[in-house]
Amino acid sequence: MVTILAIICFTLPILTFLVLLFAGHLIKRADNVATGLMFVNFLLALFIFIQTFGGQVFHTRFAWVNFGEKLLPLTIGIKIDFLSALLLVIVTFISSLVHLYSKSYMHSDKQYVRYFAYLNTFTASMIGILLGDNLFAMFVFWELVGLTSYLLIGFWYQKNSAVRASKKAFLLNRIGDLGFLVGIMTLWSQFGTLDLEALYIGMKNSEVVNGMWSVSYTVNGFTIIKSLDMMWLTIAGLGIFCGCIGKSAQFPLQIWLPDAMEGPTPVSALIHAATMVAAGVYLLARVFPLLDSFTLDFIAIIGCISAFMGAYAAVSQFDIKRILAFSTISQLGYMVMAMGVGAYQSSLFHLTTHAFFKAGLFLCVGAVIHALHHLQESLEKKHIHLDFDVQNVHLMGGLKKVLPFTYLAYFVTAWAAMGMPFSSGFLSKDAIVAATWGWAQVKASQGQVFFYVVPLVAFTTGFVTAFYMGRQLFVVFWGENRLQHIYSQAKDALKHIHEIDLKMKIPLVLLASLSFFFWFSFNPLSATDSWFYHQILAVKSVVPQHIPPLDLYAEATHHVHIYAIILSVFFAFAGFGAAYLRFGKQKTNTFTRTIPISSYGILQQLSTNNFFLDDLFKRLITKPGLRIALYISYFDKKVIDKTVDLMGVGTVLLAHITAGIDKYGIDGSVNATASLSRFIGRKTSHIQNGKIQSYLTLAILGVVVMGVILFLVG
Amino acid sequence: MQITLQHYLFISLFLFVTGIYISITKKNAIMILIGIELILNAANLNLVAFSKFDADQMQGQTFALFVILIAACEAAVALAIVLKAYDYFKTVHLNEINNLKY
Amino acid sequence: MTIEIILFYALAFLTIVSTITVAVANNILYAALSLLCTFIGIAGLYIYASADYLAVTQIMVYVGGVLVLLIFGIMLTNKIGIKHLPNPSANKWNGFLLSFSVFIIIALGIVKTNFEKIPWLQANNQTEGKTTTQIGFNLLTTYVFPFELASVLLLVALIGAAFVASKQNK
Repeated sequence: MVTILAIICFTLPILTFLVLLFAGHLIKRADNVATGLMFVNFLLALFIFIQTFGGQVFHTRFAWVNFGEKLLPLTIGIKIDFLSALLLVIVTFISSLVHLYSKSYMHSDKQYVRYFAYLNTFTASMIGILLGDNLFAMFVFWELVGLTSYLLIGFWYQKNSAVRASKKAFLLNRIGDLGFLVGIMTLWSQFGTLDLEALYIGMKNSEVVNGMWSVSYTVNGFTIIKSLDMMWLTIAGLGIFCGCIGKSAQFPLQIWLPDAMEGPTPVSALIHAATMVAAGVYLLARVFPLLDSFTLDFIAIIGCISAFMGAYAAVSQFDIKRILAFSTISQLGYMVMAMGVGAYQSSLFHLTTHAFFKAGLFLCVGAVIHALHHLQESLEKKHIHLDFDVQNVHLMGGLKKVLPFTYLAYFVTAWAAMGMPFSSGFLSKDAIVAATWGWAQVKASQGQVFFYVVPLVAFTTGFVTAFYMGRQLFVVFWGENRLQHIYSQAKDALKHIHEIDLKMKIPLVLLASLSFFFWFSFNPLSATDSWFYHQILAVKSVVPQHIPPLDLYAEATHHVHIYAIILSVFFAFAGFGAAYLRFGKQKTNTFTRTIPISSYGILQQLSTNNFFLDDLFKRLITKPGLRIALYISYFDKKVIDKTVDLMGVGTVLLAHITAGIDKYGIDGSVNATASLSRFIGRKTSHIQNGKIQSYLTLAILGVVVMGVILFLVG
Repeated sequence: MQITLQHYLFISLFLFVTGIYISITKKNAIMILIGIELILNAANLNLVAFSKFDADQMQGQTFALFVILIAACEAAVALAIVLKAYDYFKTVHLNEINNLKY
Repeated sequence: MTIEIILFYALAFLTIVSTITVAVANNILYAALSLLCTFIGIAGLYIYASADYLAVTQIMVYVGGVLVLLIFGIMLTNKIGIKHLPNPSANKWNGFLLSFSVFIIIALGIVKTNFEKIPWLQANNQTEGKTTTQIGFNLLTTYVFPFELASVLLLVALIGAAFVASKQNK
């Protein structure tokens, strides 16, 4: 029953997509239809979610491809447990809110119907990832999510920058998927199946003996023993993590996320706040038992680096959406880091809270952008042509006077993003930093003091997070409006900015309210006793070697929990205070657009240019790739085409030679025969010259010859 | 020494060869007739010579008689033809008559 | 060296020299007249070979008939009034070579033949017996058929020659 509902949940957006794509212009209010259907989807998901309380699992599986007697079949199936139901709820909830919001935001867009079609297909692909119970189905939908996000990022395809950004996102995802495939292939070759439950069992039964990782299982009575070098155990885990790096924008593949802000803001809210980037963390959660401690340490380090780089780069950005994009990278780094240190539940908890507050942040920012667009349009109506970048924070300021509702929603969600007390974000983030501290302690007790850098970075990043979130708040909403000072035509601009309409307000209200702590835990300081932690149970690792000591981690975390709370709150307030000191009191002319980036100090340049990662990629990969392509095309043109031409010429030459042989050789020989015959004939016909005496001579000559012969013979 | 058969034969051979020589090399048609007469006479001489040394004497001579007869007829007819040919071709030089050329 | 042998060689000499003259004469008439001498020489040789009737017949027919005919022919086929009747020849050396090779071949044949082995051949010197009557007798008994045929032939030749040589109006 639940399975059927889940299937309906999955196919409903697909149907909506198909209908809207092919017959969208025929339906009167296609956007209402889409929004309504997505809301129905959300209700279904909520129902399923409630059903999975208490540890219920609904699993339907059947064999899809049979490979014969001695091989396990390829199975597919739908597994719904608490985790997938939870994410299902999140996805459908935020998707329906985005649908509602987009009705107002994308109102004037020409491709209105196509937009909703793409939103629906994206949601369907995401649900596909969540419902799959084996790595194969997950991979298929993984790719589909990549494709649909490409479609959505490049939605305004007339803009060249949007097209390039969508291509960049897709390609970098593919790089990550390469590693994902390596992981999948390793697991397949070792275990013969990609079903997750089977993988858990298989991994548990495998053992590492004499440096060889071997497992034996029976299929139809045949016992199969597989054995690989033990490094493949780690490689499988690392490979699957590569997929996560690509999808969740970790170091070094994080550069696609800031550029993906070229898509419409609701799309950014859906994709990059809540769902797609969370798919990577979901994948990690699913394969968590298969990862050994080396992989987990690696994951923690990468997450830590990404968290810091994202936060640092966000400090000096001046595009309002890019700040949030880097913030996403940083928060995802937190989640991945949490997975790495073994805090499985905390990571998923942060995933949930982040989905809500980040989506809320994006939608608020979208509201600001929308308002400024309206400002531009109303100025156009007055024949004042003012062309400015609506997303540039340097041109904003003092908007809390004219957008009070937006300001309030923004404040609440930003409070959660900074990890301030009494917000949901505080609960989750604090759990993570506590876990890193405990983990580092355990590692230090084993002699590896180096890993203390991870909690150090985690706390520092908390400070930086609060700093940049505060900066955005103060720069956009406080102070005085700089647009009016920079452009003289926009003297009374603020009067033309209106508050957003109801369709956009409802999502903001819902998401802002979900940023409070009480939805998740009745204890504002810790969520470990909440329903969340009771439903999502900690998983055990089943690897045969390098088993991560998750119990030790949990215990150490429990000890340092209270200190971690104090420290993280302290750092958050410190960051916020620093931001207030720096940006809160500024008035008008602190920022002008005329300061070029190249005159920034080196630290600020590192931040603005995202550590020059874009340039690095371009220099190391893009340019050599293009050059290789150029050489190959050159080779093709000069060598291969020349060869073909030569062959053509050669064939023509051969044809001419053959013709020549035919004309002069064969015809010639025939003609020569005829000429020879004629010659001989002519010469011998001279015998008959009409003179009698010569005939007589010849006759007598014949007699003489006969006589000679007779004499010789006899 | 006695006159044997070979003597006669050699003389007749000489006549025969000379007759052939004249037939081949002379241009005048009459000369060819002369050559033919020489050949016939050589044959006659041969016949007579053999009949001399033969028991039955008369065979060869009778044959030779007939040969003389025939030779005379043939000479007459041949001369008639030569005269006719002379009328037509206006020449008796045989190397100029080559109408039957290829 | 009896008189017969000398006579024989003289006749032979005459014949041969006349024949050579026939062959190499520049003038056709000279050639014809040498032919006359040849005939006479041959007639002499006939007599020597006990064929008296034949010798006389030879002179009568050949000299009196054929030779006159030939001279008629010469006269009729040459232009009237020219002094020198040419007797050109062509391919002298080819002809000479050919004739000489024929001579050689037959001469070799004659030389190599062993005439003793032929049984019916013996030196028969008898000249007695009247050859004329003998020939006459043979002509009407043994050889009557060729005799009659010869007469028919003569008739045919006569008519034919007359017809061919006559002038016909076109």
